[in-house]
Amino acid sequence: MKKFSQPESVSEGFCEQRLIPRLRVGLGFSRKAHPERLSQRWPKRLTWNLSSVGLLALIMMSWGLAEDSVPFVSAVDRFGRHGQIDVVESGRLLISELGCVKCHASDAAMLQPKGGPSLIAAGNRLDESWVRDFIADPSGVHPGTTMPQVLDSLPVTERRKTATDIAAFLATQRQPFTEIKGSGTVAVPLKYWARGKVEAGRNLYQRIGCVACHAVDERVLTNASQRSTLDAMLDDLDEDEIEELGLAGVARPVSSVPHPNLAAKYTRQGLTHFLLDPDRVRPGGRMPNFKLTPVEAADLAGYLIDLDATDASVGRDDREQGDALAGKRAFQSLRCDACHDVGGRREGFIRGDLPRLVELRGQVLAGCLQQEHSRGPAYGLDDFQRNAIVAAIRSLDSTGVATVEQRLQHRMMQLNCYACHQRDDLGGVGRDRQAHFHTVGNIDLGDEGRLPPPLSGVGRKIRTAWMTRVLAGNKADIRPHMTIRMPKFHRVQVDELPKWFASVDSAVVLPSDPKQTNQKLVQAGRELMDVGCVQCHRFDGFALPGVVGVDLAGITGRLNREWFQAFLRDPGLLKPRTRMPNFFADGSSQDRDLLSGDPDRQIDAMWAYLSDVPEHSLPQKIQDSRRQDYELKPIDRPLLLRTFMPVAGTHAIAVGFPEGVHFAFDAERVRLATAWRGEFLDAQGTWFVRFAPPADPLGTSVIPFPTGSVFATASGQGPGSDQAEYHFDGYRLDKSGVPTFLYRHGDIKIEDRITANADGKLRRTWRLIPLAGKSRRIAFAPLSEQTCESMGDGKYVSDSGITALVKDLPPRPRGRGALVFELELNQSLTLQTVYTW
Amino acid sequence: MVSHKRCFIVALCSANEPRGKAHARSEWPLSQPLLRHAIAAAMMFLSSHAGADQEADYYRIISVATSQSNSDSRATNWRPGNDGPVLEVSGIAPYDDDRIAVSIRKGEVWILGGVYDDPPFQVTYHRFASALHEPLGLLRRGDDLLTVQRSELTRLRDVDGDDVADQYSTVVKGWGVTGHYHEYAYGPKADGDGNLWLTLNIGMGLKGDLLKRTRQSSLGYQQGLWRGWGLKVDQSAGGDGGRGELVPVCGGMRSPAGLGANADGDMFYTDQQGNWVATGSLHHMRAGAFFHHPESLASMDADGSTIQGVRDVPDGMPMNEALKRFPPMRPPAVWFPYKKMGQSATDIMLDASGGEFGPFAGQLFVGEFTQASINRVFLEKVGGEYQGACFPFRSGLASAVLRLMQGKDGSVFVGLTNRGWSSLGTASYGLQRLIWTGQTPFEIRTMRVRPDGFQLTFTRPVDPVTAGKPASYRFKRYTYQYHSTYGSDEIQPSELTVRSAKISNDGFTVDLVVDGLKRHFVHELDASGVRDALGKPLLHANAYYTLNRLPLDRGHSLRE
Repeated sequence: MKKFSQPESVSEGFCEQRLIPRLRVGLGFSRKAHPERLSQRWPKRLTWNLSSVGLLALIMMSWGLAEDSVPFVSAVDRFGRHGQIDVVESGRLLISELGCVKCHASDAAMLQPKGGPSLIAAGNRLDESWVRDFIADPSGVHPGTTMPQVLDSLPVTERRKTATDIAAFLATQRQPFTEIKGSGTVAVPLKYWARGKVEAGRNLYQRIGCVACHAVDERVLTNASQRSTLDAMLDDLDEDEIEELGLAGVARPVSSVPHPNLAAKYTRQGLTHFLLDPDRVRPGGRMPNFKLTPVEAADLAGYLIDLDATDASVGRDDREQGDALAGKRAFQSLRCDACHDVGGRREGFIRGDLPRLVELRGQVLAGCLQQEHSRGPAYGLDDFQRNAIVAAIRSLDSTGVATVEQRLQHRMMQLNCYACHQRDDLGGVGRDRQAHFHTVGNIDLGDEGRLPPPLSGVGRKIRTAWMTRVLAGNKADIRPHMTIRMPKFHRVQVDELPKWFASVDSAVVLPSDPKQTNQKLVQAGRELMDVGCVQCHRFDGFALPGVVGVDLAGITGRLNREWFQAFLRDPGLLKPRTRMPNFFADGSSQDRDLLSGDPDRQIDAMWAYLSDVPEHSLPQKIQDSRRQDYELKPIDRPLLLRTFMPVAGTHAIAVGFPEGVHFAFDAERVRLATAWRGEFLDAQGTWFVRFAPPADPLGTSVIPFPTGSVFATASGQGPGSDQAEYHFDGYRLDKSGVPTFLYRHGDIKIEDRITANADGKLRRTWRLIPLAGKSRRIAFAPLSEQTCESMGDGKYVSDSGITALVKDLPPRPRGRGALVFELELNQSLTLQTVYTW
Repeated sequence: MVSHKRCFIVALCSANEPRGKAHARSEWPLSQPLLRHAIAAAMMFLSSHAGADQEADYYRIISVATSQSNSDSRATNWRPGNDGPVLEVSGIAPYDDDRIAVSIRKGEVWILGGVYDDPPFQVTYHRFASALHEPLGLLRRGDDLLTVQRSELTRLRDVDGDDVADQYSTVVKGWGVTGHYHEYAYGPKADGDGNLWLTLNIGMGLKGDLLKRTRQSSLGYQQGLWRGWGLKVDQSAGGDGGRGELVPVCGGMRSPAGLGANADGDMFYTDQQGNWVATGSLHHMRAGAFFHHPESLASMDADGSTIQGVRDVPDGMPMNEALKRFPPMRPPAVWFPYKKMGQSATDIMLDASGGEFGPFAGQLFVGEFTQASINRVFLEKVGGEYQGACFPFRSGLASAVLRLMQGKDGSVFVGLTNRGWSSLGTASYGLQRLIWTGQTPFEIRTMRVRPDGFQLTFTRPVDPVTAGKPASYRFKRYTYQYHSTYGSDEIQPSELTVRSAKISNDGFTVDLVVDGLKRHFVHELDASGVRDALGKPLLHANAYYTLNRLPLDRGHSLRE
């Protein structure tokens, strides 16, 4: 075996020195551009102004001269080449992303390979011609691919035939597409994958976060006003100043994760299904799942395919007949199955026949690492990459077990978390991409309202159980005001992240809170919400007008209490440039009276309050605002609401009066059911809540009325016993908006009008109209079946505390008993009673 | 928020829109009609000469008012947009010559003016009624509007002529209302004889206090009275309030969100996939029929029930087997195969325009909630029972389609709201209008069963070569499982062989001889091989025929 030559020291000016075997001119929309490699030519000062997007496009074009044959590994490109991570880590990343360990075995956890796409259903998903071309020239067809050239070992004359055969073999790898289940909430139209709307797809691509990693579509105009203060500062600095301030990493454009011509590669159905569930095809989970609906995935696929369909190579029909059987043999003999799954039994691949990775220490560059490639798959590495891999292999004996911190950073780099999230000095959305991140409705919330949150110290902040949910995409989206989506990741790749974050960031888990019963503390916390929190945060979906922000309901399940305390004590300390104000500047509270003005106790109170929103009632200001929207306030005329109510039942008609006295009529049992004073009703549940909750009277002095009947035919049973004879006929509104309820009792028509008196009483007037002409005796019981005390002057007090003043009928002597008047009814008759309680 | 009477005007195209987002928003952002028509003509020209036909070439969608809510459609604390009446349209009716009335889920009825303008640049809003409990239908009758609320059918009358209702008269009530949210009540619609009809949802998973308002049948089911039933109103007794008696007609409904009569005046309803209901369906409501959901049998023993004597409910067998074992059960006139023909069928609208709405006069149009679209249904009577085919018609509405109403000019108003579930589209709610462009799409107009196959008629003459080739038509058939679980897969699928395709002299009709027709199976047709005389493919190549009865010979009476 040849000896490796000694690795050269890592060259800083690699891009000037590097041989450039293939030049590609980037177009306005180019996923092939690697602009930062030409950072030496970076203009001295970038002027970002209204035309910054156009300028950027120009810059990208002039930078678009880049070498394509090298495999692209985002973190190596972004951080490794600029000295932001050490060369050994760059090497480890390359080893895992290129899958070196698939042939040169190693147990080192950080070197485990991402693995190539599963080809089990390649036949349905991929275009056979594209597969052939790709196998024949991987980096030519997909610049930046981590797929090596594997045909180099074959005679030149055989290469094309072999590629054709393998493509033919893969075309036989077919499996029905997953059937997407439709439901009342997931629309799955017929052949949705064929109906993708380009414009809708473009919108998604630009907004949900695709452009954090992939190339920006420069045809999409961005809101130039969405610039951060940091951005503005960078505009005013020259390159040296940027370097001096340590902002080079922030200022540097970030190159795009390339993908090949998708119109040539995929069928619409194939790409749509891939976007719906990338993990199914990519075991390494580097492309996360954006929780797309079937229609969104189809739109996105439609857009991406449309974007690439103009390429002349797309759609040409140059299919050659390959020999699938020969292709299968070649697939095995070329060790394709080291990285790719295909259907059927895996055979032919024995890893043991190649040296283990650790055995390659100290050897000279040879085989697949050799510049003039001699044997094995050819990765097209450049000097930097080659040196990094060698450095990583050499470190295999010297470094001990990787620390959690190293593993965490390594995994974040593999998954490209840094494309969106900054953690300490690394990463965050590239400066050239930030203009594509928006707040819904372009409301100004600063960068916090549009960019993915930084992850510095996140292990101290976020409870591990919640972070697990976030990474799994399990109903953990708490920022609906951002157009970007947090994608979900392959479980295997992120299982350990929450505990790694907690460990690296020294999370302090305070003893778990008992169920908060200290009402005083909860009340104090609620009051403190009104000091500031309500100005920017939502509470259980409710907010002050115009406020969008993270909902604080459920926050105690998301955050560690220790972090919450520290953050409130000094937000800027934990989150630089946050818009969260410091409410305890200089260690003192804004409210010096509440809980003796003790910041710690006040913060505890807030935590106690927030532990159960909305059970602990919404903050007063939110409640007031909510009332503006939903509370029915009778101002100059009565208001009605037909709804479900606890006492008045499922046929309730509530009537509210400007006088502040209200009642609910039960149209099922045809009776005055309940009355109250003060505020009337909140209509939100009736108007807009799907589960149709009953409406509770808002006011005070809520009194149920007796359940029995007011009228009875005297010849029959007593009052309160013959409900069945009532028929509700509706109501009419008079000019002033007061309803008169219309119903029948046997063959008597009754018009029942109830109005409010300014002194808090209800005046009820019945007009009885006998339908048939005959005279009959009826019983009238204004307090129904209840026993009451006659107070004289026609005033009676029921056992439940209702006072009835019965007008125009002879008063009863003082004493106890049921209040029943027997009356002769032979023509229309009006009866009146005033109720108070 | 709640002023008693509210009336304002919103201009679409003026530079100074008065109230934030326009209520009236149109696909046509131009105000000058001439320019608009020129562009429309140009687009029509382009679309007919370049690329595949689009539904929009034939049926144009105009937004009368669509609104965004910032809340997700399933959010617990859903909030409407901050832009005027919350037009979650749950019923549409004519109001006068130029205005229409819409009921909204919040519980109001609004009169909208300027809705026939194209674009609707100045839509006016005027509140006619309020304090209704989730009304889910609106019907004009004489000078009155009728609506079904959760607990009653109500007649709204404006006595003093100020366009505000001052009488809210109860026409009928008395069905069970336990207070469960799922107990929606829909209607009314009128049949050919003028009878009013309404349908009632089943309550789901009733427990606790809700059970106090239920009744229990000998079969053990517990539901409110007449839950899962279709009822009509007997108004023969008259009465000064237009009062009527509730007459139960048929049961076995799950979520009958739409009802409507066909051209012959017979009344139909749509059901939605769920437990016991395999997929969306269209049913002819007639006395004694049971459709699928057995919990409605809680009212089997109630006075007036038309279904008696059910002792046993089969569970877990193919539809044809279940029909044999369950005597009162009647198959739907049309199944809407899940996903292919939508996921949640809603309103039923007869095209009574006599051709102003295109080539489908006399057919039914059915709203589709989840996919924000509208489907089309052709019915025929075989052996005295309705059955027929459904076809995709128009997609791309702004939100879930709940209501349809044909306007005075044949165009169709579409009421939209997706709160509580979700749908395709860009809006939470609103009102749109569908206008026929005057161009005739190439579509399968009718699909009739024959003893040995199917007869298709087309809207345009077919190309004799492709349409005469049996290979241009592909058929498969499948049926569904009748069971208590949610929905059903298509079961017992098989491909059918087309033996011959014979074209009529005028080129509009093709008779297909197809092997293997089977009762109680859906027969799915893919006619994508067929071209019209100009070589164009069908706008929608799929049709789904629900075959319950096979005609014995060609002599059976056919009615459209």
